[in-house]
Amino acid sequence: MKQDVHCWHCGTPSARPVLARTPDGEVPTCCAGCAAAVETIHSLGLGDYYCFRGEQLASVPAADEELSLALFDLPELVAPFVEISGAQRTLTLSLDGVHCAACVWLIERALKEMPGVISVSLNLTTLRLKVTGTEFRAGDIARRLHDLGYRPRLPVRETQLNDDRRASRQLLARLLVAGLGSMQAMMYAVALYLGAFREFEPLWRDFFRIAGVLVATPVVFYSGWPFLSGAWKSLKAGMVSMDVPVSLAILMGWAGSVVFTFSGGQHVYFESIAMFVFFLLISRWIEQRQRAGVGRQLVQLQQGLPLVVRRWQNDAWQPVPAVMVNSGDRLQIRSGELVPVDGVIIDGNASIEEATLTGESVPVSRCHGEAVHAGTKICEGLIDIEASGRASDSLLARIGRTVDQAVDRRQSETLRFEWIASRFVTVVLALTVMTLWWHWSSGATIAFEHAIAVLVVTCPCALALAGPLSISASVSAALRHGMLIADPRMLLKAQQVTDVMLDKTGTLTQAAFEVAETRLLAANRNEQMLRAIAAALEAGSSHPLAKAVQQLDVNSDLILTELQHRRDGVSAMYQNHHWRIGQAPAGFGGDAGLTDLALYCDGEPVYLIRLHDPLREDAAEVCQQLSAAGLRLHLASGDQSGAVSAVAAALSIDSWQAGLQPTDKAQWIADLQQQGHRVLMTGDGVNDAPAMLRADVGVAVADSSALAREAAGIYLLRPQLAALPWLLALSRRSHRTLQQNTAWALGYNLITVPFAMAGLIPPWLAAIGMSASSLLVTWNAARMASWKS
Amino acid sequence: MEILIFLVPLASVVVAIAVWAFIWALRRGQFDDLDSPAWRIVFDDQERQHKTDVDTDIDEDNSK
Repeated sequence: MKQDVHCWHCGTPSARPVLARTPDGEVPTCCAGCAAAVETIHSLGLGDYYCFRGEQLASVPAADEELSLALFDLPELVAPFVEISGAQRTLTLSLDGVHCAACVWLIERALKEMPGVISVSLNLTTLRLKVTGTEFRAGDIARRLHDLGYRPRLPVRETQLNDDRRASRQLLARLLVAGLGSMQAMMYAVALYLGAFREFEPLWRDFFRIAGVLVATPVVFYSGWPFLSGAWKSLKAGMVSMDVPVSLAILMGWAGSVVFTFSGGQHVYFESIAMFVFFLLISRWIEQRQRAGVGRQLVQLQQGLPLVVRRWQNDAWQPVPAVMVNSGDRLQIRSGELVPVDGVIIDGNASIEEATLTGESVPVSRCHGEAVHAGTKICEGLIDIEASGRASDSLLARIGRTVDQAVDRRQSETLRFEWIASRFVTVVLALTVMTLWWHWSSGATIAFEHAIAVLVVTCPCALALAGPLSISASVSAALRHGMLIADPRMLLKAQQVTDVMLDKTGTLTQAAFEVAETRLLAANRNEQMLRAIAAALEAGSSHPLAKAVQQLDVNSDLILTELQHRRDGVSAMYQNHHWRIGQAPAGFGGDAGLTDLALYCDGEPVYLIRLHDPLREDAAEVCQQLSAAGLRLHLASGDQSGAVSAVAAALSIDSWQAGLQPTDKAQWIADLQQQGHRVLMTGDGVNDAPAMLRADVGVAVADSSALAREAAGIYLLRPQLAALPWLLALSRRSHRTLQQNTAWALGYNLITVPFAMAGLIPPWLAAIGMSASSLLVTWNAARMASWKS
Repeated sequence: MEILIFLVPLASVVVAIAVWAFIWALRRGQFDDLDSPAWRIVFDDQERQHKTDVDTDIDEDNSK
């Protein structure tokens, strides 16, 4: 086996590197797109990018996106994103593929050199790019970004982004107020303690207590507001959330202290309460920051491509966004593009790959009068279609809505630790009431103090934090390993999986054909010559089968005449003979899942070319690892049985089914689940979406369709199946961390609560104890983030 | 002791100013991106180094 070379630009391993020229010599890259990005970056004199950037992967430049770049040339579409002040214009774009601070540097440098641009700023958190200048064209900016390997977008979901930003700023403001407030409260508390030893005059004591009221009140009601409002909401909904005892402790502590301040009571707890709020907020803030990184990636993925189509309008083909297409519009779709809406072909014919809908990897021919579906891809040809509805009416969009609903349902399930936490809270409230009742005879002040101590010491934040934190730490560890976990529930479920179901096309295989075998069918033929003719016949075609045939002789430069593309293949004249490539005649092969083509000379088959869809390089190893881990493997495919059995045999999977409809796959999973199995489903197409929704865990492989990603809950960002065993290990590890943390939180409370109830722990000690406990679980959870394997 | 009557309110005023300054910075978006500013300073350094390299090249060319 050839040694894989890691791409200089994006890090993807590749067996056939493409060389890119740089001033320091040639470097290997994985594809022409990456090579172009490397060369562009060096030609702008920004080669330092490669020294600056972190370990993160650089963006993989998208394939030809001329059509979606054309969007930026339409002034009426770009106008809403341009702010004009005086002679200056500011354009706001959203960017895909930005990973680290080095990307920010690269983009800002590269754009600043463009004429008419005055300043550029890119926010790494929100991925919003602001370009200010006098005379610049949005289209040029977009093209430059595209050349560098980033994908510019017109910003959408601005409201959500603004909401997120407002929420994060507000949390930070609350945190700061709590921090400063608790420091002040602490200062006055120390004065009071010192004073208590030296017999303060009551006047001074009251003076410091009033100062305490002044600093603690904003902390309680401004900084503590998320807890108070959360508690109120959950009580209104008839539930007891973790915010309830927290709010109760805060409010009781504050109200009691205020009363004692003005009635000259024994103690005030302003510093304990303020510290309590401060520590709780710190944990929330850490968690929010960790989650934001993942959420950002997710939003970027969900945005998908703003699909642009050519519409016949004012006697010309005009690019318009797919969402503006109406029923009856005439659209043109070229080779390599996605069909944006359901419609009927009114002109031309094309071979269309419908793998996203059917799982069948070999494209089918469609011509005048036949229906085409949104989400399918034109492999070859050019068609004009009449839209039969809006993009939102298409079959694809309808499936999408079903997926959305199912995902929403799935996300409302509660996790085990959430269930434990809510029980825990109820017990704590009961214990607090018992403490009050128990100490009531020694006076309200004392009873109150002990009850507060119980509430503070049992603060469920160790529990409340432990779950979300270890999950978010695992999720960010997964993100660094090229795996996006959109639904954290899946992560915890993955460790219970007993069966793994795999899709064939695009999941185990590369969904790209290669020549498996060739054979001469007629004696006295020069094989080299036949190869050259076959390659020349298929040259210039982007059909996946044709691309494989082109590999027979990449240097073929024969001149053919009368080249014709027909439904049964390609034919041409060469040296006064009629040559044709088409399906092999019956009687040859047809077994072992190979697709057979034959080269005909004057109608007689002379050369047999057998093609197959090769397995991904790591498929065999991963299957072996999974079976070794005691998991049962199943192979489910919509493809024909020959191809499926061949793959199953190669990977020694004995449970396989072929020719499955999308619902059949889901049914199979349901059957397995009824027998008590927990199933993980891996797939890539829309046809796998129902099955992934049905499965306990869904994993969409790299380059999956948007719908499959959404249905899956877990999405691999790199084309490596090796992530699968890793994911299972990560899941087991997170589960263990979660159990440790829960055990710690419960154990700590079992020990401390009796002391607190007996009145042996003052509130300030309780606050320290609870923060130490929280810090411990936070640390334990954070260890997950740096976990490797 | 009486000085405290003056000092405690003064401390409160200082805290109030600190909160106001922080919120002002927050509103201007200075805390929105906490990841890239840490790196910018390094990039600028590198760039200056490059410029000096180029300058010395030119100097050498002139001296010939």
